[in-house]
Amino acid sequence: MGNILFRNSLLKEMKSFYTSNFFQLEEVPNNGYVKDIDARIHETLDRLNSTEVQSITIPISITENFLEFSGLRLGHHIRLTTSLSFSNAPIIFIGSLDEKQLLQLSSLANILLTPDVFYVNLSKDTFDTIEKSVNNLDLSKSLSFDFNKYLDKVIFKAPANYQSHHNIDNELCLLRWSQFLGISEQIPEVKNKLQAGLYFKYINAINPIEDVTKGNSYLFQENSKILLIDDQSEKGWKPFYKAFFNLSKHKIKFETLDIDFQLMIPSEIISNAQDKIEYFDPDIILLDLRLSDSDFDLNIDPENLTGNKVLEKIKEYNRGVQVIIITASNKVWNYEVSLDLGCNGYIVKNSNNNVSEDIKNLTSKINFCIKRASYLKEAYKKKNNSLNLITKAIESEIIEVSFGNELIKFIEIALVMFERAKTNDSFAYAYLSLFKCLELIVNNLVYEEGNNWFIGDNEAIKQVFWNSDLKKYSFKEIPEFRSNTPSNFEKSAGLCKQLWSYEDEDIRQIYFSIVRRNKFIHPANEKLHKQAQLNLNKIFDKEGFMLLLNQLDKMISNFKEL
Amino acid sequence: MNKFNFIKQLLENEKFNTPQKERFFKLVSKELENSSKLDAQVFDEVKEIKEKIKLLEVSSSKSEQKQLIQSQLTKQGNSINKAKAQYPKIHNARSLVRLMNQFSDNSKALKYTTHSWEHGRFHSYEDFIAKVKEEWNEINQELKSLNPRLSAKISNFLFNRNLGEKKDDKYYHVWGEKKLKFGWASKALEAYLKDVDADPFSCPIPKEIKSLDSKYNLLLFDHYVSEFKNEIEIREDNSALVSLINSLWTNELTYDFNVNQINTEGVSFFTDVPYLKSVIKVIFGTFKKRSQFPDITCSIEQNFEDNYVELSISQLNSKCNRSIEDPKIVSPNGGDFSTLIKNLMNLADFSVIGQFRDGAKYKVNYLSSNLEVENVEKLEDNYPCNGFTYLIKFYL
Amino acid sequence: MKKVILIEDRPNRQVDFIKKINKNLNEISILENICGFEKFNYYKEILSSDSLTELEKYQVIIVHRSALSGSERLRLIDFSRKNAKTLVLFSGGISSVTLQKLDAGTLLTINSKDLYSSSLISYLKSKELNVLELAFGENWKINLEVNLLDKLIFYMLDYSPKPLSIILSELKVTEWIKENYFKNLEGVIQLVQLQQIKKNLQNSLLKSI
Repeated sequence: MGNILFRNSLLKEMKSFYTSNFFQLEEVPNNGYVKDIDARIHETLDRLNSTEVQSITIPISITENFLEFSGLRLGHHIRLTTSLSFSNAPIIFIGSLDEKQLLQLSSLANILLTPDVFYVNLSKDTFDTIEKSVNNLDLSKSLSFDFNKYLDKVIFKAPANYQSHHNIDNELCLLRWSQFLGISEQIPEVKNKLQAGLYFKYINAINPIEDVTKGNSYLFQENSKILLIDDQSEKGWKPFYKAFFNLSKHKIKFETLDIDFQLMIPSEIISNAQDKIEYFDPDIILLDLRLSDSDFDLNIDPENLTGNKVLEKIKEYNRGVQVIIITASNKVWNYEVSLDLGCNGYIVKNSNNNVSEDIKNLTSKINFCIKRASYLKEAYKKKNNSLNLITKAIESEIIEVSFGNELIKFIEIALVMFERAKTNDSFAYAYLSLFKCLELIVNNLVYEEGNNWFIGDNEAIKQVFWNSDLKKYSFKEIPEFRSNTPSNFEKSAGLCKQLWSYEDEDIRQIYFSIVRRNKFIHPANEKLHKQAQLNLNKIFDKEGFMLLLNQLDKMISNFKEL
Repeated sequence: MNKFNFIKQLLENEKFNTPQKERFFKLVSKELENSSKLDAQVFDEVKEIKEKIKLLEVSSSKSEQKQLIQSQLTKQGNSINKAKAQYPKIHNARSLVRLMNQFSDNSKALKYTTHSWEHGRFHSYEDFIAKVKEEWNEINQELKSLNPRLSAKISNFLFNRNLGEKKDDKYYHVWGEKKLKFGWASKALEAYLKDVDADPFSCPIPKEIKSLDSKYNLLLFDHYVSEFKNEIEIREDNSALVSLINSLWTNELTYDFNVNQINTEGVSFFTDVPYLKSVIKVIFGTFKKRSQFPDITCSIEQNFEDNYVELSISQLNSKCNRSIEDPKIVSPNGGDFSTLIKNLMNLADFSVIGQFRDGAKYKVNYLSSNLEVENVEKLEDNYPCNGFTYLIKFYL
Repeated sequence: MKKVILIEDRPNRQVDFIKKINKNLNEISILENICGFEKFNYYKEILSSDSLTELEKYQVIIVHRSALSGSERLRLIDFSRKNAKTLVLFSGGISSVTLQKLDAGTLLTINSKDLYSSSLISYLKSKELNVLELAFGENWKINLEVNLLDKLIFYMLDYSPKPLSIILSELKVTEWIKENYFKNLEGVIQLVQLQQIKKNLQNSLLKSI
């Protein structure tokens, strides 16, 4: 069983150095000035991990300067690195001051007040004393080390970032989420830096990470394109998400906005984001609110946060693209602003959270957004397309301005309702709302003069009917409209078949769309057969709306034929 | 039996006739001339022999006697002059330094055998060693011819795969003065660097090697590198020159002497450090013999324009009792000066300055990298020389 | 004469700091304050080039660590080593002060909040530009005193009288320590004299902590 003695430059240079074989000498390397002290200590302990250790003797500082207290720091690392085989071993500190002085100089000295930690003054007998004492220590296995007694006495402050504590939460989440998912080794920032951080070890000790439960809860089943816009993406989040989504093997296509956030002003960041979005056309965007230095101004209006500005642009591009805001900020009023701007989810990176819940939350939000993006993107694309066509038609004076504007408004309203729809009924209401557009179109393009009905350029409307013998839609010789007024279907069919030469199947689908609406407003008493019922039920989910929307879009695209 | 007593005996033997004795004497003189250590002594002895066989009595007049002595002296003098022309020896201290400077040249892989490098500079351990080997092969021949010991030390540290293993019954494969047993080619280091991110200088030393080198308690490869640097360079970060002089003061001179160091902090240059140490040891040895002059000064002059660092070691108030023409001074052939010359060959220019028997001050140059330097330079009377001084000039 | 250069890529950080201590860094005569924008870009170019000669005129170089790539950092460290400069690298992610020798130069690694503190102002105002003050604040003397005390304890264990210059060299005594603890000593030093120095150190430490 080894008795480790960590050496500092003083002990190295001592000519009369203790030469007995009692101590196993160790040293923390200075790694070419590249690695911070925590990383160097962590690596050294990692290397010693399998050693059988009876005691550890450490000078107050193991580096060039006493006031760095790196020896005390090493002691804390030993206690807080729970994977270390000797984390509970007795620690003996050696120094020339007395304990009270040490306690007054640094809070790291609190370790002297915790169990199984001893202090020996420097003198000619120091090492003899330690050797004798260690041999007399009762080191039976039953000696239980109460870790809580250690935790109670120690105080750690987070490394002081110049901005608020947000950055620490950011790093802590990255560390803890990676550890939970078992992907730490794939993220250099975590592996080389964060894992080794003393403060992070402390947080992990007071708020331990649960073991990962078995199962596929962190896997995604659907294909999707996800974009990360985060100024900290280079600081580890990019490899984190890459590894996270990789668990789902090729389902998720993941990219990041790779720009130098620190060197750009907000407008540059926003325009770069726009370019990337247009190029990559993501389904989901994981968005941080604070992307520029100016965002850290304490008095900033949430609406002016660069992230919110980017959110606006995203929604302008295609409101169907789902945006999940992932931020270390815990200011609730920020959330409300983002919500108003259309964000679809909000995740707060908080070190006090339960990691397992965080990950579950993240996964379920993403899954939810994948589903929604799958139809909303298409819907808004169609909507944008339709609106463009209507506008063109207005400009070319193919249709009247008032008609065009009203149509635009109702389409917008329908989309708003569609986006908000979550329940069966709300989908139906959205459908009804969209249906109004159909009514608008047919009522505008099919008009009455005298007792007769016309379409287009004074062309009399023919009455369409289903010829069950010929199994196709045909025109009646002479229109016999009920109450001398064509129905919605007759108007639609008249337009589509007579003016725009639609295929029969398309006419049929329009028929179904209309029936869907009618049967919702006036439900049938009798039970319909299965196929028919299924068809009607489409009003209760996205399918009905999308079918109707596509039909409307096609109709609108035919305006130019008028 | 002493050579000269034997010769004396022979010449006293009356079986020799005069011409035989003369011829014998000539031959003996010639042989004795060639014996480097005994030139001056020989002359005296020969004179004594001649008196014994009364050769000088043959000539009647004193002036003729004088002439004969003179001619003999001249003969000796000629041979001395021939030896005189040997100094200053022109050597290649600058070349050696130029080669050693590769160890601090950023563009050379050799530099990174003693300094950390940034991630990605070398793809792997094998890549690094290959580049080092390539550069070493370019300079090794020249370095070997200038200073074979230094070359062997560096080569062993960099490339010997068997360090720490036994060579034969008694000896291990080692490098350097301290006979260390770990280096760049050690298997443990190669294994440690399989991980591309690993830092070679943090490589822990295997237990077996630690116990073989237990005297020095070297725990990481960084410590071995540091020892290597200490042997090829006087470094300023550990005040190496100051410590070196202090340790020789303590061990060689003792505190009956007082050693004052001037400007010896902040000095760094490449050299063969163990040799430098032995040189200063010899110099201090010469001071020790004259305990009536206990004040010693070691001072450094740094000249960055001409790229040199000159170390002057003086024993204050001491003078040289010899004549400037004394062959032991102008063309030393054995003794302390020869040792110094031998050890400083190709490392540093070497001269002495002092006041000699005739009261004048002279500078005698023994090793120079400069062709135009004279053997002996007479100095002005007011030249600031406050004691016998050894001058050692290192190039940068 | 500008002796110190501070290269900061995030102006907001400095602005926050200046508000707190109410002191404009641009008004300190020995400081060349390079704070963001074009000035920073100019120096960033220098830092990423092969030649750092433009920095030779400064005695102290303070740079935000994250503004440098790994190789730029090593190059700057090498430059400071060769030219005996004091190099200060600061960053929000640094959890502990580290002060290391670079041959004749010095490297200080420090957290941004510790750098941007009253210590910086008093450091810049001091004549000697003592980096210990910047690193450890007003306790800096304790660093030197305890370092010496530790060494002395073992040094005296098998001590035989030595000349003062050898002691100063073996204990690596700095100017300040020499001034304050070895002032009236000369010649060969006896053990009792060292014991007195040890007592003086302990007394001073008792008072200051």
